[in-house]
Amino acid sequence: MSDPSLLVLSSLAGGDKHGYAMMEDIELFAGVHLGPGTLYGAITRLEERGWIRAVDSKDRRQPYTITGAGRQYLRDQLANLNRVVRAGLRRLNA
Amino acid sequence: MKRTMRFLARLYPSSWRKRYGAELDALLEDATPSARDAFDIFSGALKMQMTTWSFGRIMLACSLVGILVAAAVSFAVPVHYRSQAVFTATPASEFTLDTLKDLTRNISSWESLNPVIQEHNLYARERARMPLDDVIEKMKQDITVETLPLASPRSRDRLTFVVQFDYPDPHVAQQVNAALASRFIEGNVDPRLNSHATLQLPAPPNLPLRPAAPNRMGFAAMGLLAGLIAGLAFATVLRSRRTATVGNE
Repeated sequence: MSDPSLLVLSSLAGGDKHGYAMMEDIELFAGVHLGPGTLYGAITRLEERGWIRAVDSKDRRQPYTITGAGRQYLRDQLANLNRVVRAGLRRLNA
Repeated sequence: MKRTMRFLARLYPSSWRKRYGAELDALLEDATPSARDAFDIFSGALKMQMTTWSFGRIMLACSLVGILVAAAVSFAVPVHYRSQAVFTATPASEFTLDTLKDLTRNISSWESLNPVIQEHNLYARERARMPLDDVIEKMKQDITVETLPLASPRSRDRLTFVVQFDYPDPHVAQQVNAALASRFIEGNVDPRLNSHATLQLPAPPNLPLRPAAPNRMGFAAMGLLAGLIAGLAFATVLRSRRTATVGNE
């Protein structure tokens, strides 16, 4: 899985994080290095869609949180992926 | 590298930077800079610029790029000057037309053009790397003989035709065209041709003051047109991609 939007949503599903923390987290759980440009491209899109929102902070490192709609979207996408993964594995092992 | 990345981050649209600039700068302070990340910021800035561009801005940018590319190409095309000589031939008959064709054929022959090439030292660069036959073929392409349509009822008794020669040097173009014009006249009185046409030269070969090619305005117009078409295609693709992104997410 390398879709930056899903990676960001998956990272935020584990708790609020700022940009750099998301980069490190994604590298840890997915083994994918998201560049700063890609990460902020995804953050911009996700915030526009209302799937994440900025959390009040006095720090320059702006944390984000996943919204209810974002959770639902992530759940749907992961369920789809899960179906594909199970079908692929089943066929490989057949 | 951090300085480069901070510079690249300035390439994002100002409206985007107002919202995300400070936190992106903070991330860049924390991150270990790499060339891959620098490229990622550059490409992110480019994409963000494109997504915020309006239809008019895309068309304007593509048109400007089209004109600039066309202008650059036009400067790479070799300049040619065209010397013209206007002849009249009487009587205006099929026989005179046939005579003109024979004259044109004789003048464009290897035996006729080779001495002209040698005398005026034409196509020096081409002769250094091409066989003479090919150089003569090139010269044939630079010579045009055109019969003009009848201009008025009064001129129906005579044919008007133009002999043209294109060359990078205007003075050489005129001198060579003068040589070609005199060959027309000499050829017409050659008893072997059995011509009954009378040739006159009301407008001797001129000295061209402006290049005949490249037509830079024509190039610019083509570049503008190509830019507009490319802009339209680009804007359409961009719009469909934006729509697809909204639909997918």
